Amino acid sequence: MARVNNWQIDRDMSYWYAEKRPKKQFAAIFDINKCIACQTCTIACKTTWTSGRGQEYMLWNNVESKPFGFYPIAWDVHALELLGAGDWKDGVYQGRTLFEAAREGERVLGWRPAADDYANPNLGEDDALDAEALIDKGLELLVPQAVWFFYLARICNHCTYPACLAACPRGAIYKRPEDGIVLADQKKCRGYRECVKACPYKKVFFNADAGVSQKCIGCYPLIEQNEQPRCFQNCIGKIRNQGFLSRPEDAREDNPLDYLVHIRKLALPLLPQLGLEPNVYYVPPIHAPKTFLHQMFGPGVEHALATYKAAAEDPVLVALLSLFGCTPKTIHRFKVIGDQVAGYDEKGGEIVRVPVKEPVWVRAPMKGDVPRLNVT
Amino acid sequence: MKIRILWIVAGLLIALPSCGKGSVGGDGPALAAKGLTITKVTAALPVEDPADPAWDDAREVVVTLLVQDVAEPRLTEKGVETLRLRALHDGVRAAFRLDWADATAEDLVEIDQSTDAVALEFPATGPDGPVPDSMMGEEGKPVSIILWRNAWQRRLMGEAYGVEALYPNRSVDHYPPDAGPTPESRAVLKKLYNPPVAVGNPMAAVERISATQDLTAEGFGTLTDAGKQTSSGEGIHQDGRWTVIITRPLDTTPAAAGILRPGETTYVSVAVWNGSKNQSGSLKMRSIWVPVRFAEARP
Repeated sequence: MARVNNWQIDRDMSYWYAEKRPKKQFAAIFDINKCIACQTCTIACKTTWTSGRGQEYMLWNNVESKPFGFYPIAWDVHALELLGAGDWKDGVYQGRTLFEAAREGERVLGWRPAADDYANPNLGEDDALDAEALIDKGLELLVPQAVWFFYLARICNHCTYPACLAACPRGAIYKRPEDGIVLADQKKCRGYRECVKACPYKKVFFNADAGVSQKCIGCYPLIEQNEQPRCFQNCIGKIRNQGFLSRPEDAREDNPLDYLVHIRKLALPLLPQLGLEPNVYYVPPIHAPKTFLHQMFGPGVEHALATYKAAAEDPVLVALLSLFGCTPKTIHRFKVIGDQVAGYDEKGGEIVRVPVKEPVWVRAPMKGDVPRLNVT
Repeated sequence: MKIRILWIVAGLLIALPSCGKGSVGGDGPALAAKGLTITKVTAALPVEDPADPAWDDAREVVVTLLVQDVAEPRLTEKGVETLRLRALHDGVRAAFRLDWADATAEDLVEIDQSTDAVALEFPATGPDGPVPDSMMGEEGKPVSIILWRNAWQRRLMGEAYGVEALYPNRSVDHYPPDAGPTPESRAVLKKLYNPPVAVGNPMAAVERISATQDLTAEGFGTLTDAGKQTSSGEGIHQDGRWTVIITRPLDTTPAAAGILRPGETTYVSVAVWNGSKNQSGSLKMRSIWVPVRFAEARP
């Protein structure tokens, strides 16, 4: 075990390999408040990458409803139960990570799902069945759990310290030095499924037909062309933005990812206490209980929620959030220019420019005797 | 040479010949130093029938199995503790009969289930070379491995495997590779939609030519396909026991680097995976080196 620094838990921790950060780190921000769980991202990924035999059950991208939706069943509940509670003190995680809590003879504290655990990815989540009966029985009294939910879109987190990579005894999982994308080597894998067991987010899948493990590839063929992955390009809610994230001390104010994660601290990692330094960040939902969000996104939740609620008064935040989903290209830099915001590629070329606030026309409700609808 | 002598002594401790049918009765521990003897047969090599009387001519060695407790993930729960091993050759091929207790036979691999398997390992450092570590060899000291998997045997026998076997009643709208208008185009699409097949991963090979795979290794995590498949294997599960016969050509060409050459001594070690315990990879029971020698046909 080596000692590495994990800035998300603000301390050094043990990891199987020495710290070696990529030249650039693939990262993403999902604004949970905008997600409507239309599953267009899921289908975009499914039709692109996982339509073969043995991949029927695989959803490299999925959207689940929290707190009762899971894919696979109880993935986060199992991880948190295994690890046990751990306190945060002044932003420093005091508990053990999955690497530090590994059982004797293992590299990561993991659990292996049953095949059936993947069988019902959205069972009952949005089902209104018997809701009226439940309400008659006092559903509204079961606050807060029964009366809130939010959608959680998930892909591989392309972690800085991937548990799948640490657990593979063959070194068949690797992190690309050029962009930090984590890949399972399809030639080297021998299907031991240690990665499936180790990944707490359960984003490595076993293909029973091919006999090897497979996972989200971050659409690297698109990344190599400076384009965002399929699930980003197809997001109709425009909740997603893919880019590259710096270390906190190297954060650039004009990098969309750095600005939202490091500078404004609006977007937070998923279950940072597990210790993997995941690289998909979430703008937390404003209507869920803070205790739940604290467990899910760490101690930065209150600040992120306050910042988001005040975002309408913040011209830079409004401008940057307006850029989400406005271009298939990856935005490396952004700049607010008057009432517009522009996105630039790695070489500084402008790739998109949109108004910070869409113009609105209010039309008279009636034209003669004909009622009209207002549209923006 | 000193190292080799040390391994012989170590082999003595774990490879005790039994006195059952087929063993050389009466000479007990004195024979232990000889380890496994690959005895020449005058008749046909009994590669298919483990009950063939020819196997009675092969001295049985009871190999003690230990948990693999060196490389993570380590096996923490002890599995099958002994394996009975016999070997014969006909001057062209060697046949090994491996026999161990396993209450159930598993032949499918899923997220949560594994296949039964067994492996033979030999030093691949030449007759005068250093003896590699018995656990997967070491850098610069390769080992040669033959891995038999019940899942591969199932496939070789033409039975359904993968999702066809696991989920025969599944409903799937459409498999893109099936959309090709001709068998040729479907074959191309099948490869295109199956990356491990496209890059030549033997684990994903659509057509299996053997229930075994020939492999090499130079330490944990380095297991690699040997590039040429020469071994074969067939197992029978009966009365709570597996009996697997693995055959491999003898190395008789003078120039070629040999693994098994009549007249030369070498070593063998074995590993066993229990599918019902979800064992695979380094989660296995294994032995240390057992000395191997060739013997002429018994009169």
